[in-house]
Amino acid sequence: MRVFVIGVGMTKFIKPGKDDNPDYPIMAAQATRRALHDSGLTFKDVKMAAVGYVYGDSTCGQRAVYEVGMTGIPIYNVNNNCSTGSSALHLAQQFITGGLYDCALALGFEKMEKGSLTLKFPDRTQPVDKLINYTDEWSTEKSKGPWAPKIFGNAGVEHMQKFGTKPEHFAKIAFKNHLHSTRNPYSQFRDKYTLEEIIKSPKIHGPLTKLQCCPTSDGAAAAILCSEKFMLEHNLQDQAVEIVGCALTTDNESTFAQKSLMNLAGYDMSRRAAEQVYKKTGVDPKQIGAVELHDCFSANELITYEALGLCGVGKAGEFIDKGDNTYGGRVVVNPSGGLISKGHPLGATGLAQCAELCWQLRGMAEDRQIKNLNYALQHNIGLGGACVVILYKKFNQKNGKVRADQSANPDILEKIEAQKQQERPRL
Amino acid sequence: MNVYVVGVGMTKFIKPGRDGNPDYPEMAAQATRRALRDANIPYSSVQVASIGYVYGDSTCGQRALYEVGMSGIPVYNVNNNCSTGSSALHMVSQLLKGGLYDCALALGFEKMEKGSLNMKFPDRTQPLDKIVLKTMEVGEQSSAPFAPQIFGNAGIEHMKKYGTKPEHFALIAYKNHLHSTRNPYSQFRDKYTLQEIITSPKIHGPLTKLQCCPTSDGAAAAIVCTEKFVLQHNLQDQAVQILGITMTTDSEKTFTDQSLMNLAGYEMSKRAAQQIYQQTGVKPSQVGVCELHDCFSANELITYEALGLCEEGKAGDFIDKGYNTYGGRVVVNPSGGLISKGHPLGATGLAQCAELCWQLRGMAEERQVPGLQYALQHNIGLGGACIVALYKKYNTKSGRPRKDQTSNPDILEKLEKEQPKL
Repeated sequence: MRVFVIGVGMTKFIKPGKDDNPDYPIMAAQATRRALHDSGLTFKDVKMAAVGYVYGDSTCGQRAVYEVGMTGIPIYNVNNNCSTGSSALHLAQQFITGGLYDCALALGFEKMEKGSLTLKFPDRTQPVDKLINYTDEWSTEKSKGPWAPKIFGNAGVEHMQKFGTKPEHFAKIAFKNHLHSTRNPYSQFRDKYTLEEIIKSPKIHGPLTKLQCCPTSDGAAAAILCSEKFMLEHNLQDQAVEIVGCALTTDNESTFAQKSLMNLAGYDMSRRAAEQVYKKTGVDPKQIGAVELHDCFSANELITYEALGLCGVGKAGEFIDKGDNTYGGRVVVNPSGGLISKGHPLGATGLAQCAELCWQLRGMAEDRQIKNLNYALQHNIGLGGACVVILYKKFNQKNGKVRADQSANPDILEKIEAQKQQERPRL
Repeated sequence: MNVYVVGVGMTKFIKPGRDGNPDYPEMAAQATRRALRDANIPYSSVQVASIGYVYGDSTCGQRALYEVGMSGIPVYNVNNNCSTGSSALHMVSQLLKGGLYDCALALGFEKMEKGSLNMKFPDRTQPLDKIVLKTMEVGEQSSAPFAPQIFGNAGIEHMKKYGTKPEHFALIAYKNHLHSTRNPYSQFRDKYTLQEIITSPKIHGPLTKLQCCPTSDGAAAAIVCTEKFVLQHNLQDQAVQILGITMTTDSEKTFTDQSLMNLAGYEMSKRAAQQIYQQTGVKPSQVGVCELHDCFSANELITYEALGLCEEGKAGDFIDKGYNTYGGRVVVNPSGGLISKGHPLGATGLAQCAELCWQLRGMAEERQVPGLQYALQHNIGLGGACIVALYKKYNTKSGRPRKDQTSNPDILEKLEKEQPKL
């Protein structure tokens, strides 16, 4: 059964840890209401919810969703580290494609701490313990510091050793993403940097410098999914974006057996997920015009070009040098600014990627708009782990912004929300 | 599409917090291997896994599952407080029903701390904040931890509405402790007199210490599949059909009715049960065995009514007549329930599934309920979510076709020593 995204919404991603930051129920409710508003539906239309977040006690999903409505529908709290948001999306897609529900909510949020990711349960086996041990053991580059940039920095080191890629290639990716983000009002950071500034920012590990690493963030994002029947019944054809293919992969033996630093960073999970999607759909990567992929660190974006088949294996450097990864090139990667500049609230990221790609396909991406889009691809990965790849295509050729009050612009949405608030009858 | 449980396994539930306790990957791997052994299939047959646990960093599911195999299949980590285990079961049942896979693993585990449940993220909105506030507003307050207060208050409301007595609650705990003496998986296996239960330290309302479940370490797993898979692998004789499984979450009635019982999830349970009876056409009177969520005796008592095992207000009568145990109408919690068997949050729902499958397959040893047709499971977590499932054996042949199949952990331990990895 076919599955469509008929509404998306998200909050501005912001720096975490500040006293007056909204708590997760507020962020999550705002993202959910924005997706409902975009879809023209009410919460009563939603028949199940998959809610993704990493940091929080159990049933935070319900606590957040109940702010919007309490209708007794099935609600799952799910997580998969950094691919939590797209895991929620994947689960909702599976339920609709299997004919179990007509309309579902995929929601993701995160309220984080400043600084790098920490483990909350130090008294038991760390899920990524083996990854951390092996990356140290197998890499020629040793440093003290947080584990995440080490794992991905080492993947970068391996790529340089194998294919002659240069540190500048990694820096160029960060340059591109910071530049893209200047046009994204949802982005945590919106500063343009010179390549020099990026290369000279504090060294973190391998080719990675500070401006090549994503920050932690607070934020939420949501998508409403539905079946073809529901889409037609509710006259949502013009804004419908089809999920033509999706895959969720986890580690197989290759993660450890091949002594590859790139595989420790999830390269093979990404490759397999993309392969499954291309095989299922018959689509060639060349047909893809927009990609939102998991640039937690520039190194991951670089190796992921190859994992997704956007360029040949070993050819990422050339791909970058030719400008084929941005506007005017072959495929625009991370028009939103990516995780590096837009931010990375773990539970929300996968759904923010979905929002950006739907806006792109619907012609609503404002000054980030990519022209003549046919297919758009999403890639979201979490170590531990899981990788989700999703391929999107607009249902028809009509204008994807059907109503005057639909917008991808948060400032416009805030005005509309303020007005609705005023119009609400006093109790 | 019909869905079947073809293999189950669990670990002995044990007191948490001790240095020599196995960590979660070990417990989870043992439960998974036991389920695979029971189903007589290799790990490579499993096409998707839903893994439930509450306390642990993200991707603990994969870390545990990878001990058994790394095959690249989709894995979801899921939680719903105390109904985490059955949420994992519900998820895979739905995926199989939708024709997405032929064979799935539902796994749940928990490594807990001693004492009552606490919040790990105190710097943000507590998911149960409104429930706790409301129960203190509408009901009695005490210095007890929040969980026994909420369920103790539900008990107080039932006593006020229907004249139920504290002894009724104690009789439930008496029964569950007694049942557990026959369960080798149970954390506690002591029989208590009614007097001992009543005079154990008072906790809240009618609840005394021996009427409250402990925290535990443990894991449980189920292999769930389609009919096509059952037939292909010749598993008909041990297959148990999940005739219906449903998940409800809170409706407005949790708060609007000003009911302490609703705050404790009564209305969620009632709705879930109604959905199941409607979906399957089965009547509660046809249910011969039930594993339900006795986190506190008060919840078992009100849940008899929510599940329609007796009429509303008649739980006291039901208990007095011994209808809830062997020789009565339906054996409730033959395993000893959460109260005596233990309650490792992620595992509980799957341990309930294991017990009911063993019961329907005639493998429950000295806990065996005779003449069974339908079995009912009820698992609830505040916050919240309630899962109710109805089971029936696929055919009437013996559910234990192979000599090496057993529900007995001591025999399984021997087999595991002889043949460490499948």
